[in-house]
Formats: sequence, C-alpha cells, structure tokens
Amino acid sequence: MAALRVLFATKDKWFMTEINSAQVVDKSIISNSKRWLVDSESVKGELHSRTSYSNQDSIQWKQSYTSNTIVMSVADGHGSDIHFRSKVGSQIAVKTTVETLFELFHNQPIEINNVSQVKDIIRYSIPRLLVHNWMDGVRYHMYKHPFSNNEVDLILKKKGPLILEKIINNPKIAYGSTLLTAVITKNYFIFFQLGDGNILIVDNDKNVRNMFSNNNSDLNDKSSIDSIIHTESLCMDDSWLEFKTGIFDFHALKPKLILLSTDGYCNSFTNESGFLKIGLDYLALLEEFGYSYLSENLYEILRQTSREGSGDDITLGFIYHI
Amino acid sequence: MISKTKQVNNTHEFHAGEPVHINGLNIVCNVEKGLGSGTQGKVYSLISPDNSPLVLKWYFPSMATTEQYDILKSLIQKGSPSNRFLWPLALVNASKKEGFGYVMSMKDSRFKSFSFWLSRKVDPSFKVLLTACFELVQSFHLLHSKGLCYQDLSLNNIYFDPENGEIRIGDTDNIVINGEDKGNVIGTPKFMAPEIIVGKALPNTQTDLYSLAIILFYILFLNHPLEGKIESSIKSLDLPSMSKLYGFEPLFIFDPNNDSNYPDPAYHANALIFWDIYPDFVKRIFVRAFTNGIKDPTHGRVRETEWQIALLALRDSIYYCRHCGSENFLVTDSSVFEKLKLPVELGGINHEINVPKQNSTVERVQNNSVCWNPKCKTMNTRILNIQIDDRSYIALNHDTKIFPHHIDPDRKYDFSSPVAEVSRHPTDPQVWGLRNLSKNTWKVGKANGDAIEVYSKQSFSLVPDTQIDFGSSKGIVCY
Ligand SMILES: Nc1ncnc2c1ncn2[C@@H]1O[C@H](COP(=O)(O)OP(=O)(O)OP(=O)(O)O)[C@@H](O)[C@H]1O
Ligand SMILES: [Mg+2]
Ligand SMILES: [Zn+2]
Repeated sequence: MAALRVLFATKDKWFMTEINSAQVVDKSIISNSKRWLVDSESVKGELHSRTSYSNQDSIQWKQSYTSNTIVMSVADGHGSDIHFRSKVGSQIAVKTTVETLFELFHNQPIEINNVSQVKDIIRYSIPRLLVHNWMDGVRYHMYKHPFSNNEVDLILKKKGPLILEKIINNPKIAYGSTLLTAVITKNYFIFFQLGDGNILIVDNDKNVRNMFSNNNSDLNDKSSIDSIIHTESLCMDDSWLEFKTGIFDFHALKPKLILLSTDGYCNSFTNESGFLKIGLDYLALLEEFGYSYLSENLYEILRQTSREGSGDDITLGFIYHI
Repeated sequence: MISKTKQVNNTHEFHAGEPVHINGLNIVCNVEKGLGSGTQGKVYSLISPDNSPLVLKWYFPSMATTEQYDILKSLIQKGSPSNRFLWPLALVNASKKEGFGYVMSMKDSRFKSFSFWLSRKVDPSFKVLLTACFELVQSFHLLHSKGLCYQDLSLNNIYFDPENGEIRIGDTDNIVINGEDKGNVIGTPKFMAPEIIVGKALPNTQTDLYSLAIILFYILFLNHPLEGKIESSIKSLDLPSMSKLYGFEPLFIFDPNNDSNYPDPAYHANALIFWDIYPDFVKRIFVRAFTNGIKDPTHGRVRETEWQIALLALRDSIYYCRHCGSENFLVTDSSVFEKLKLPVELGGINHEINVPKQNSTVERVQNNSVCWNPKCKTMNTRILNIQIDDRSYIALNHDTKIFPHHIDPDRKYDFSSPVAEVSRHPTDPQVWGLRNLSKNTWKVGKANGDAIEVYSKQSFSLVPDTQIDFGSSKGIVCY
C-alpha cells in the first residue's frame, strides 16, 4: 500500500476500507484481449462550485477495436472572464481533435518504418490543422449562437469597452482553451500539447516521465505573447507554432500507463515530484485492483484531490497497457 | 549482431556507468546518461578518456537494419565534410546488446534547433539568421562535393547558435550516396523534392538543392514556400492531399503567374510580413527556386554558389534603423543589385520574373527606406555604405567589419579575420572612420582630391565620395 500514499493520504475512511476488501482480481482484465484499457473522468472544482462557472474541462477519446489506434484529447477552458465560452471551446477542441486524428491515424495507418518520413507533417502540419478545425468549430458555434446581450453587458461591466471590442473583433478569444492529445498506434506514440496540463508516461521499469515538463526542455519557455490572453491557448493567433510535439517509437517509451491531466491535478501538489508519484499510484491501483475498480472510483479520487488541493477542475484520462 | 526482431528485456539499453568499447577510436568510454530518444534510437552522453565530448546513438531493434549499418560504415569511411556535421565517427557493437550504434561529437547546448526559431522561442538577428543560412549552404556544398546527399532533412535536425549563427547538422545517419537507392523513401516529407515524392527520382544533388531552398525560405520567411491558401483549405489531413501539395501539384505561394496558393493571412501571416521586408533581389531568387526550380529539376534550381552570393549580399546590406535600431536592408538608388549588372542566375534582373507585390505601398516603403518595424516606420536616409568595385556594397554600421571576402576576389568566403572595421573618432564620436586591420597600406583619395596613405591600425574618416584602393580592389564611400 505504500505506493498509494499520495492518492489516499487523507482520504475518507470508507474509501480505505473499500480498498482493503476489494477483490484483487478484475474480471474485465481477464476477459479483455485488447492491449489497451482506457477511461477518463472529470470533476468540477470546489472553487468553481462556489462561483457560477461550470467545469471548463473536456475530455474525449476514441479507440479502434481493429487497429489498436487510440486518440485521447483533454482540453482545459481558461475559464476567466474574457474566455466566457471556454467550456464550449474546450468541447470543440477535444471533439475536432479526436475526429481529425482518428481519421488520419486509424483510417490511413502510418507504420513505424515510414513514420520518420511524415515526422515533419506531424510536427508542423497537424498542429495547424487542429487549430484550423477548432477555429471552424468556433466560427460555426458563433454563427449559431452570436454573443448575447447578457454576455456583452457582462464583459463591458467587468472588463471595459476596449476589451469588449477586442473580443467582438476576435470572438475566438471567448472560447480560449488548452489542448493535450495522445495518439497511440501499434508501433508508435505521438503527443501534442498546447498550454498547461500534463502527459505522464509510466514505463515497464516504473520510471515516470513528464512528457513536456518545462525543466527538461532545452530552453526556458519564453512566452512570446503580449496580449490579453494569459496562457498558451488555441485562441492565440499563430497558436499552432506553440504546440509541443513528441514522436516516439514503442521502445523509446515502453509505456505501461499513460496519463493525461489538466493542470488542476498538478496544481494540487506542492511540487512536481509529488505530482509525478500519481503515475506510480495509478499503476499500482490498476495492477492490484484492476481496471474496473479504478474506473468506478476515479471520480471520487479526483473530487478528493481537488477539494484538498487546487480546488480547480480536474480531468484525468488514462491509457493502460495490459 | 544485426537483428530486426524480438525485444528481449532491455538488451538494447545502457545504464549509467556502463563501459562502451569503441574499437574504431581505440578507446573505452562510460555511459554518462541518456539524452533523449525519438523514432530511431536512444542517445547517451559518454565519458571519454580524454574528456572529448562524445555521444552514443543506439538504434531501437526495429531500426537496427543492415541498410543502416552499411550507410554508417560508408559515412565513417568517407569522413565528415566539416565540423558543422554531427558525423558518425565509429560504429559500436556490444556483445550483450541487441543491434548496434555509433558515436559522434556532442552538440553543445548553445546550439538550438531551428524549430525554436519557428516558434520564436529564440530571437536571433537577421545577421545571425543569414550567417546560419550561409553556413548551411556551404555545408550542403561540401557534402555534395563528397558525392553525398541528404535523404531527408528537417528544421528539427539543424541547429544554430542564436548569438552568432554557427550551425550544426544532426541526423547525419540519413545521409546517402548520391543517386543510390536505399529503398526506404516513402511518405511525404515536407522538405523533399517533388520528383522524389512522385516517385520519379531518388535523392541526388539536384533534389538536395530543392530541399535547401525550402529550408532557406522557411528560415527567412517562417513559412513553408508551398503552404498557402491551398493548404489552409485542407480540412482533413490525408496523405494523398499532402502528396499533392508537396509533390504532384506544388505551387509557390508567391508564384508571380498564379496566385491561387497565395498566403492566407489567417494562417500564413509570417510569409506576408517577411515578403515585405526583404529587397527584391532576394524575392527574385526565391521565385526562381520555386518556379523554374519546380518545373525543371535538372537545370532550373538555384545552385549553392548563387545562394551564397545572394545571402552574403543580403547580410552586407543590413543597417540599423536610426530611430528604433531594427535591422533593415539597404536598397539605395546608387547601388541596388540591379545596378551591379549581375547575371540573371545570380539574382540579377530578369524581366520575365516579376516579383508579386501586395500593394503599391510596399514599393514605396522599399524605395524610401522606411523602417519595416510597424511600430516605427521611420524614414532612414543617407545610410553610409561602401561600394566595392562593381561586385558588392556593404552598409556601414557602428559594428561593421570588412573581410578578405569583400576586397580580395581570390579569397572569396574568407571571413577568418577582418581587414577593416568601422571606428569612432577618439574625440568626436559623431565622426565615423574605417580602421585598417590588415597589414597592407591603403591609398585613400579624399572627396576634396587629397590623397593619403592609411597604414595598418590607422583610420580615415568615412566621408561620401572618398575612394579607397585596398590593393586587390577599389571601394568608394556612398550615402
Ligand atoms: N550529437 C548529439 N549531441 C547531443 N545531443 C544529441 C546528439 N544527437 C542527438 N541528440 C539528442 O538526442 C535526442 C534524440 O536524437 P535523434 O534526433 O538522433 O533521435 P531520433 O531517434 O533520430 O529522433 P527523431 O526521429 O525525432 O529525429 C534528441 O533530443 C537530440 O537532441
Ligand atoms: Mg533524428
Ligand atoms: Zn525603425
């Protein structure tokens, strides 16, 4: 149980007893012949519960039963006043991204012997296409639902006429969102990230790797934005240039577990190393208690984490290699 | 030894401290740590007996093919074209490890991949970018003269020092012998010549010239030369549509005779911005590279020497805006490329190739030397420059240096040590001079007709119409 300390340090009593009495063997794992088990959960943070905002996070994934392709996308709407439609923005983001990438990687499989030949397409074309399709989605939503008087009045009151004008001229700002995506195919892995959030990889040897952690990058990411937008976001002009992309052979990662989470999760810990331990905790949970056990309890785990930590929305998706 | 199959636990990985026998170099190193991995293999830093900075790249089992082994063997045999290449130095086999690897020099951390420039994580000057571009062209030239060419190259595998433009070229294990079939060229690489994508050619020097043009355009315009409106109208990315864009129907975004792939301001703003900044001779050479260069792969492409001349001329034309300090490019009435009577191949005027203009203000801006910086737009007049014979001109800034390359036709591309530098008068900083850093004595004819001799370490005042006889060439100071 030592490995579970981070998750359960201050969990409710009933939750602990539930673990101790849980059946260790999970039927769904035994009967499941697929290589990957996938699930996700999203909770609304206490902070937001107190205000009028809803949960700004979105998550979506799609798994092929024939080709082993999985695409999972997590988006975190910025949720501040000027991004007043960011819940819709994050929904559009995960929906268009999963559709676009599934279409590409499932329907036209690229194998490892030629992935190196499409590396530049993946690095430079896909981010632009994702932004493009997101912007189309946003435009369509705007067309169907123009800003209401209510929305306009609220921005005017809270932010003043200059900001209002900016948003009216550039409505995608209202939809601002981050985007995290993992694509898994038979032989290789591709990750995209724009803005905050984390992609954790736990490998066979129980190393936890934070995919785009700032401190292992070559440079301290100097933000190149000076505008009203506070973070790297789909709504920035040229946002595709800010995408971080990783392309890996199976052997480069040997993943056992892949976790995608919004930054509400990481912010619930005082430091990164504390956060990284969740990788091992979830792996231990999956290995000791099984997939359906985790699926059933994930909501409660996230709710507790948010309550005791950041108070922010938390969304987690996991992809487990059995 | 060379295996394509089965993955026994970790037999292709190294741990810190593990010894690595490098027979080719006759040394034993120890693994320091893993530096990273990608699609081909994992790279480790090594601790070597003489502390020379070396790394080991070890291929993943599926990548450790006989073809790869043979490529490495021949590259090691041929030797590196220059120190700009992170070239394979020796093959490595290890009895207990699956596959093989090779050692190469370590890339210093001051070198950043050009993808950092694309996302503006680094902010190099034009001077640095043009230096890096020049070095790239030079490196391609050296590589080609060894009968080698890239199979595939990308911005991610070329690195530059944002302080001075020095470059390093990685991923050299994909370099192949000119025209040889390595049989693994498929897909749609963005930097590959159309005739390879459509399956009509194998990588060779001519296809490399096309890749080079793409990379230069990307670096100078922050946009792919074929990614305009047609790209931004693609909604679902599929490989056939990519092959069309880059291979079957390539169309330059600034094609003067066809604007159907013109940049889309929403997605290709950089291309539009930079197109306005550079002088016409630069646009013209790129128009040629992506019109004739596409139509006629064998004769239409811009050669390395042509790029070298154009890039250096552009670098020499940089001046700093008086008001905001931004780098601008000098296009004076007295010494535009047009006037230098350059042959068309070298970027001289060809009236068949016109340069598309976005609107008439662009033209005005250029002719009037208005600073391109949108927050400044100051008009800069009377920019000091020196014209050397009929070959070149150099804008004279407070930090300009003149090299043998500029004054000695027999020492082209010699930038080893400056022969002259702009200096300030010791008591009146408003007065600029040119200091003789060479061993030769210059004969200087002043504007008023006086003739003086300027010895080594001496300076003379930079007054328009002053003439300088450097010995190997003559210069005249202009505004
Ligand atoms: N000579 C070197 N010195 C220092 N670091 C290096 C060197 N060569 C490669 N690396 C680093 O090792 C990592 C993997 O290198 P490399 O690009 O060769 O891998 P790869 O498998 O070919 O990946 P990709 O297919 O993405 O190019 C990168 O992070 C790279 O910066
Ligand atoms: Mg590589
Ligand atoms: Zn200026």
